[in-house]
Amino acid sequence: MSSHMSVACGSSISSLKSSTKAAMIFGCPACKSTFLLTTQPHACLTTSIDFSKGLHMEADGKQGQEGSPELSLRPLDLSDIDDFMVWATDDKVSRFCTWDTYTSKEAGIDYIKNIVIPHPWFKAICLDNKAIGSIFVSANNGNDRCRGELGYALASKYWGKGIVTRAVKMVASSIFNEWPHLERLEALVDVENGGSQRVLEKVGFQREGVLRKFVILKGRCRDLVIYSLLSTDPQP
Amino acid sequence: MQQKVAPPSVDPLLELGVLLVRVTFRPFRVSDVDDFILWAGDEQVTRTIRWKTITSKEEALTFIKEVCIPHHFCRSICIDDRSIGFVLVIRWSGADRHKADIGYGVAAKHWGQGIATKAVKMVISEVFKDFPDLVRLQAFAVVENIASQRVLEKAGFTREGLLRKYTFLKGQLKDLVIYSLLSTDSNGAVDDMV
Repeated sequence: MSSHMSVACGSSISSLKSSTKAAMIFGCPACKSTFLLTTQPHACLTTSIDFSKGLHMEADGKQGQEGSPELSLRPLDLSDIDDFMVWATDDKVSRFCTWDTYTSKEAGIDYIKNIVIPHPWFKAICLDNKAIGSIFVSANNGNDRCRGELGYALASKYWGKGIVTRAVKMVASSIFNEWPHLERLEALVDVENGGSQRVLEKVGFQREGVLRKFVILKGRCRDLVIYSLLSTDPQP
Repeated sequence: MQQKVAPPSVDPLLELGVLLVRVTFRPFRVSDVDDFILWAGDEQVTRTIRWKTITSKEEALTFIKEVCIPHHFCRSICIDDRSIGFVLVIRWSGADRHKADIGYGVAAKHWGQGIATKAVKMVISEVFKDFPDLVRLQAFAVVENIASQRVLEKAGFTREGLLRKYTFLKGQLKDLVIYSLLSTDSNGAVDDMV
């Protein structure tokens, strides 16, 4: 299991072993970004606090090159509405999702207020802190509390660059620590959505089977492939 | 030399066939309570289903009156009109109205006789007639319940996969096998004798 430690602001990490540093995921308490600690400074974008010991990094450990955008996950809020509308109004994005393409900003605002903000785990996928997609884990109750369902969407201009794979890896490495009661993270993907199936396979989800005519999506019965990642599986 | 005389024998398949002809299903009645306790109070039967093991006649009466009778599709499996088990079909609602779950249980003394298979086959044809917009009938069996998986396979369900650590059943985290039967699969075929 990957480690998840909270580190006090300003603490020195230069004495830590490099393997430990590589595995440490730090959640900035101010801007809520998730990033890996290095010896590079982290300038929090929400406050002027200089943590001095961390950096927004790509979750797979690749250090950001000069000029290359940094991927992070943080809460989605109303100030992201214009960025949200970029992917929410795109038929290519909504095609395999349960939601219909958005046609009004009001509907987008409603969604962020009523669904996103109260959601137990809903984040914006951000490049240089600009929201380009979303990722969430839904919770269940009672006997089903052991499982959570993963969902995600990404603006189509960013497809094919491995962004969702990286975002899913970030979620997979932290969700079991954040939710100790979670045993199983599952995802249900349309049989025709090869891109999404490849994301899950690259992260290490196990394909369990095809659920025939499992959902009605946009008026048609769809077969879905079900994938799972257990807290006891090798972590990405 | 003594001649051994073979005892009179009955063809076991014929015997089974005769038994299965006597298997019927119908709504539960309050008067089923004593028969109900025999199997609903047996942990062997309830171990792999969500029903709580019944521990008293009062509990049995309450369960029959408040769950079995009002439920749209809860049937007693009977031999000679005596309750020896149940079949239950639970329809999903809203956007999932095209789906339903089937569950069943049979008294342990009647295991291995093809009764659950016959009951499930009988229910399938009635359910697809009763709910014309039903598209998918699904069932979940705990991974170690091989007998129940065979019932579903014999009844024509398709095994779709093993769902790891899917749910808690009576406090234990379980792997479940998921099965489905679609309205477009060959189902409701003319029921043969066995």
